[in-house]
Amino acid sequence: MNRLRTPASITVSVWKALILREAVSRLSTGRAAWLWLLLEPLVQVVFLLFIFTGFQMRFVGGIDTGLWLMVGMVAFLMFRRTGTQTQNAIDANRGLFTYRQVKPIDTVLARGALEGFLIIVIALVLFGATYLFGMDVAPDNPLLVVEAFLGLWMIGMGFGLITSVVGELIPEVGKISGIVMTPLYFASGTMLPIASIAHPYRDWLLLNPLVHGLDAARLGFAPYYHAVPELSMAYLYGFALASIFVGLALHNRFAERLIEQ
Amino acid sequence: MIVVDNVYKRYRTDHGPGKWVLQGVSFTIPRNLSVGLVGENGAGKSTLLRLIGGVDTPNKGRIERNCRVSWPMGFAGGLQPSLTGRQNTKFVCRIHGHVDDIHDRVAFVEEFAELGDSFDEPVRTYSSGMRSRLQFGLSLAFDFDVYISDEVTAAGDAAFREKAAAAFKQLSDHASIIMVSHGEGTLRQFCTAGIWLNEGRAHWFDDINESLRAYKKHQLENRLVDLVSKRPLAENQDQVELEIGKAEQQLMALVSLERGIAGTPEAVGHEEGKRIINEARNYGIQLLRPGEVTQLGHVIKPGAIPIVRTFIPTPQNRHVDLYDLHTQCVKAESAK
Repeated sequence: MNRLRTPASITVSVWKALILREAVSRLSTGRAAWLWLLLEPLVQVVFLLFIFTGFQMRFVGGIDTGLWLMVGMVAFLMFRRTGTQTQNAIDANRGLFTYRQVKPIDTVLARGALEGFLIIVIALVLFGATYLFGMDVAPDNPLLVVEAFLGLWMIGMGFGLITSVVGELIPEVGKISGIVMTPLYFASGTMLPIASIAHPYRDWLLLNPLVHGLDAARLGFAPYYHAVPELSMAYLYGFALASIFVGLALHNRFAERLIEQ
Repeated sequence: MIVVDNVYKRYRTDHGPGKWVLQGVSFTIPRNLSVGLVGENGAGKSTLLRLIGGVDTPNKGRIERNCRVSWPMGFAGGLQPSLTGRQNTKFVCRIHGHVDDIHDRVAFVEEFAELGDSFDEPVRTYSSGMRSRLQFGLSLAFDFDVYISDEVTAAGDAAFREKAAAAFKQLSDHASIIMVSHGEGTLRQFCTAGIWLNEGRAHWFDDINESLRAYKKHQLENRLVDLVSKRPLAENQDQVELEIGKAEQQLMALVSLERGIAGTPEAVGHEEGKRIINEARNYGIQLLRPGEVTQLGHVIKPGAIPIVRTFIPTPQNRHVDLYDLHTQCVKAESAK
């Protein structure tokens, strides 16, 4: 049995076990944990929609404000939740490193996969609900939406892979990455159309790959949306792959030290 | 078979690399031989178990596991506090690749650990006894060739300890155990061979009793050194004096036993020995290890156990070695 297992099959069974373990604690610890998962993005969308309505802005970039906000918010969540959840994966599973089959990288990957899946479910519920309210939320180019969300998830993974290692080695980094999230939220175009920003500043904001991901997702829903003209999926994916590579390299280099602490 | 070859290990601290916990540890544990680890707190016993269990990797050296080795069962880790006992059990089954027969194994653990309804409560609510019962049951649910136990058998009430002992005895025909325990009885019960860890090195003994004796002797020596160095400042001189006398007696008895002498210098009526001990009491005592040279020019034989040297700074800077005392004792004994 054990003797015949290959390293690959051990890794796969560890991933399965970790994902189930994470899912249980994510969805069942505390009262109605699953409800809070759903409420956070919902409350934010409703709140912003309230403000935008107050400013009499019914359309942003040519599409309905509600849709614009909701797609941007869920897309940003795809990055943020994946990033912050994976960042804390190692500490949350420290007790399990007693089993030599479980490596720090496994906990990060399992959390990332689960979080991506959860966001997809949340997105389906949100969009399903708005459809029932009579809003046209069917994406025009579903493939582009998938592409954008996948890219954002990968950037979240890269972020989490890097910060999970660096945060263990230098604890202050964990706090800094928490601080960075709020400016990123504004600088990614969740509630501020980047396309409407004047020139030298827009170029700076476009260095942020999340801008590309968010606008691509919106473009996937509505082809007539005025996305930023410099939109580049290559930049989004290039950034994602580079950060994942750096994260994996860090995990490879510091694997032993992560377990020791 | 487990091969530990020239293993070095140290941990990182907040102030850079810490001191070496293990320095050049080498030994081979043959199949089906149960080994007990003894040593002081912080001697590296748990570290060595973690290395054998594959949790940590050595800084230098190599560890080979040519058999199925369990994880180190112990207080530290292995259970996720927020999950219930059942969920933890399922997790361990899954990472060990037992998905098809997961129900049988969970049922086994549930029955063995005797946690009752608590099995479905989060592990963080467990007492330490309940935790180790769960861990113990968990490890027994899988077929390993070698079980690693870090004090796990020590916890729990008497009835559970008996059950655990019975389970281990049943395993012993096809599996072995590497264990750390501060209970001498437990070690003697389960282990054949012994390893004494001291100052980063491992000393192998084919007989667990010998390793316990070596460890005890070392403790006595340290205690003696400590007492003597404290004596000048002590308030109750008489009490310290009494304790020194006691420690010396115990030590001499141990050394004598080792060297085949029937008793202490007093017991065998060795006048010179008595005089030296009395004189030594007034001065300092320190340790000599194999390979070191005594003040009288004797080299302590390799393999010999560290001995006590009295250090007497008289006007002539005279030194007397207890080592010589032992040889004289042996002579005195054989002359009879």
